[in-house]
Amino acid sequence: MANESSTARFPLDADTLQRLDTLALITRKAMATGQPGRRRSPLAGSSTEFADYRRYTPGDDFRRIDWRAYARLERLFLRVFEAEENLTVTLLIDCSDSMQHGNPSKSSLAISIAAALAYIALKCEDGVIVGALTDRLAAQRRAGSGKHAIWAVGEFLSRLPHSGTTDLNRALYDLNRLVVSPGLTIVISDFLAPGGYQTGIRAVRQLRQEVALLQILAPDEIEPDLHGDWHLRDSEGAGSVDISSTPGVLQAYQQRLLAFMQELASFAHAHAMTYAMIPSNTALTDVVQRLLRQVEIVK
Amino acid sequence: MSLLIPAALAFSIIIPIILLLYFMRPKRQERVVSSTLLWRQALQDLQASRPWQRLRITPLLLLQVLAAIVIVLVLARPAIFIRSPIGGNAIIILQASASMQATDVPPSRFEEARSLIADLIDGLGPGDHLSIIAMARTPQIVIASSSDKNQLTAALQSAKVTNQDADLEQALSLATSLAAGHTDEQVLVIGDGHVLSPDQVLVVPFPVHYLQVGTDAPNVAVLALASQSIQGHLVALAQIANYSHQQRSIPVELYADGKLVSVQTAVLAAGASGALQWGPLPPTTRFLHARIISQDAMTVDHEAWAIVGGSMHGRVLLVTRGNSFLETALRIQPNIDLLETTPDKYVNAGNFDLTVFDGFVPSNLPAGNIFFIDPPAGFYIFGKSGSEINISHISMGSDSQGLLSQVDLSSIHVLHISHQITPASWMQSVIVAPATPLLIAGEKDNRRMAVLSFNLHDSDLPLQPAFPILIYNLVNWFLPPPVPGNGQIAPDTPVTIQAWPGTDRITIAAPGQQPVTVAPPFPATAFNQTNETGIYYVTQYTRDQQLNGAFAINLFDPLQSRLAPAALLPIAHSTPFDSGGTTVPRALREIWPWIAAFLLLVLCAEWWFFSRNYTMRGVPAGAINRAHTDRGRDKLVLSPVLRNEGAAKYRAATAIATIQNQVLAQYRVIRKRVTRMTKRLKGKRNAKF
Repeated sequence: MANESSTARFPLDADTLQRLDTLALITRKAMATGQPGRRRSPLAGSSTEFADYRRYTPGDDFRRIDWRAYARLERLFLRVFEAEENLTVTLLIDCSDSMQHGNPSKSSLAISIAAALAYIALKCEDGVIVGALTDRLAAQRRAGSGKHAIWAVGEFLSRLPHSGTTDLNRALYDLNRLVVSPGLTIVISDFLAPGGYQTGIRAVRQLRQEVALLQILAPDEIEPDLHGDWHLRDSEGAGSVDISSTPGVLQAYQQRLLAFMQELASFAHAHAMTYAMIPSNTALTDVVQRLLRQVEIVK
Repeated sequence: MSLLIPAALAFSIIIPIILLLYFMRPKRQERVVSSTLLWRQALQDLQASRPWQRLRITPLLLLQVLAAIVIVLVLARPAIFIRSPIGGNAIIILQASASMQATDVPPSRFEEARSLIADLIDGLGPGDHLSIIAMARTPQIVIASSSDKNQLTAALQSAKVTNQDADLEQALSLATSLAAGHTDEQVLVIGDGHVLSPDQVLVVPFPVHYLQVGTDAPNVAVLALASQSIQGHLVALAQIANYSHQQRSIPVELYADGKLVSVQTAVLAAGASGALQWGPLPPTTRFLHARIISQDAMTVDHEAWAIVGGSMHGRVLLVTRGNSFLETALRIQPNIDLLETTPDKYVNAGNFDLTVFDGFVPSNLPAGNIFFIDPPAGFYIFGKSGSEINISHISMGSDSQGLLSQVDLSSIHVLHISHQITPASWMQSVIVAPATPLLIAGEKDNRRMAVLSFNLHDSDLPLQPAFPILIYNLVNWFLPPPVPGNGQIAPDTPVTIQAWPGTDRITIAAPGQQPVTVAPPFPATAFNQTNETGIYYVTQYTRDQQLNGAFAINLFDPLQSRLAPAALLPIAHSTPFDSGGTTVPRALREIWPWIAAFLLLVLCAEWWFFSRNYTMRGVPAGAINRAHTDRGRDKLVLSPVLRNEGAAKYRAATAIATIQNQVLAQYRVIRKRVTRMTKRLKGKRNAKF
């Protein structure tokens, strides 16, 4: 019964999910979310993992005194253990018109990646929040934690809006209404926003989020298949351009695309974020098991 | 520069049309893309709202405008005035004598001269006319007044070098006739100047320029080859000349009938000549061949041939009761085999070419030629021999056969009695007296007959020098050699074979060639193919025998063998070709062929540029590879990666993957540092405990 439900409502099939069972989301540093779970916390806790010694101060729990150390040193030391907490993973999907283009479309890969990452997070008992970005935070859902929450994620992903213009700055700024604790935020977009993306992403960083930027570009954006003279119209109505496809023009476009990606990568690097560019014709398993592993989003 | 068709400049309207096409905005197809952000950034100048766009100076535009300009120029037929070596109506006299075979100028002087003329033909303008005369002993017009370069080139190729000498006077006479009616005629003589020296300096009504070909190359030559009988032994004599500026040892081989006799070396000073002698040679030797072994620029004069004695030997029967004068005179003739008999023993048997009846005439005359001396009174085939009469005065009659050549009749002082001869109508009286002819000669039915009407013993003629000469002339008339003289002829001299009486057919075989029939019909036609030096075999077929004769063609021309080119020609007011006065200053030359060639290059460049653009459009973006510059930075370059490779390979090669790898590497480095620092801090903390 559950299988039928997942096939109908979750974007990924059972085989794919089975491959994802061995993966887990990783963060660059431990976060103190205050939610008990499986992940290491920067705070001392009550897990079985020894972390450190510290001097006894009045009021400390006697049960944590290391008597063997006292026997050797005649001083009281407390044994400190690591705390383990859960993480909230926020998956933000660009749903503007520009994401509907490409063959295969960028949005389909974005939804698949979001579903896969949500599944990995939920499997590790992390909390998941999914949101749809257009010129604002168009929709969001706090899916909770645990595997049972994948149905909520699946339902949300299947009902994503697919229209609108892109305003990443405003949409990401809207995230402060949704995220209150430190966590991992993964933005899946083409980042081709006329107004830029830097302000919005910095705002997300202000929310104590570790940010990963997954840029999805269609093959014909990476390699324009244009011969002759063309009138190019923007899918989001941002204007049109006339081009004559000459080697010089194509080369200028390639250089501009490269500069744009380098700018995005530099921005990510400067703010300790993770960046990956994914062509939309890449298979999901290849994305998750190879690309995201390379940039160390999953392990 | 001037334009022959200036109206063609009207075609230059094509240039603004080309520019207009570039001004016009091309019709574009519409396409919806996800974002034009990057296109707008990259292609700022593609924004256009007017039907005319800003003119973009592209290489294709420049090439098209350039091609249009060149096409209009070609149509206008531009021409320039250049200084041409020859122009207008020109006559080139190409020396084709033997010395032009010299190889001091590779491949030969003649080929060098032809090459020079070919260059001049290439430089001919549209209104120029050129005639070419080949100058040998008999100058020939190779081509007359033609402006067609193909015809001129073909005619030039047909010109051949000969073994003759060069007659400049005749060549100029021919040029004068060609130049008749033209005012601006000029003549250019190309050769080494080895021409027959005219009696005086030639004066011609047109300017003559002389283009010298050849160098002062050393040469040796055989100038003469002959045989002689000295004290009964046959010896060969050769004259060798050294035409060089230093003493040379010249080895000379002599062959007798194809067999090497010996090699002798003539040591000659510069410019000197000397003689070599070989002997005794086998008395049966017929042909001699001398050959200089050393190598130099000219080889045609290294060989010489000679015929020993007469080239044809006839069998002669003398029927006499005893006539030592006649017998002696006949025996010294080199070209007869003499047999002698008396009237009592004479029988009309045997096949003799000539039968001499002295004081006796048989009833049945033999076949062949007959020489009657003192025929008894009676009627014979030649006429009537009457009774003996007194002779008072001797004079020359009709001598069309040349029987009295070099014969001095005035030396005959004693001659009183002779038979009174009444000759037949076909006989001619060669020596006559008022009362009777003394020597008559004629030919009938291919038989030659002569009659001497008196007894030699009754005259002092046998005692005179004229007698052996007369006998020599008579024998040569009865038994003529193939060619007059000693059988040695200069090259390219027409040879008319003197037919032996009774000959049906005559053939001549040149060295290394098949025999050529020159007769019938009789008299034999002149044989002209005598350019090659060597022995020419003449075969005469009579009714019952085959007579073999020969003649030799030798150069033997010191003028041609002396290779140093002449500085000047014996012509008044002739000038060297390379002086300033030889050029025609304003010859109009069209230059459209060069412009057309340039146009072809422009079109090729345009095609290349267009095809390059077309090819570049097909280069996949996946073929953007990372290349390391000298500064260590990465930059993108287009590489010819095949588009058929799989997408996975492309991803590895894309610039995006490059950036990913770069970011990843930096991230790993930082992470390693952080890990290392963490471990170090932990280690310090543990050490405190």
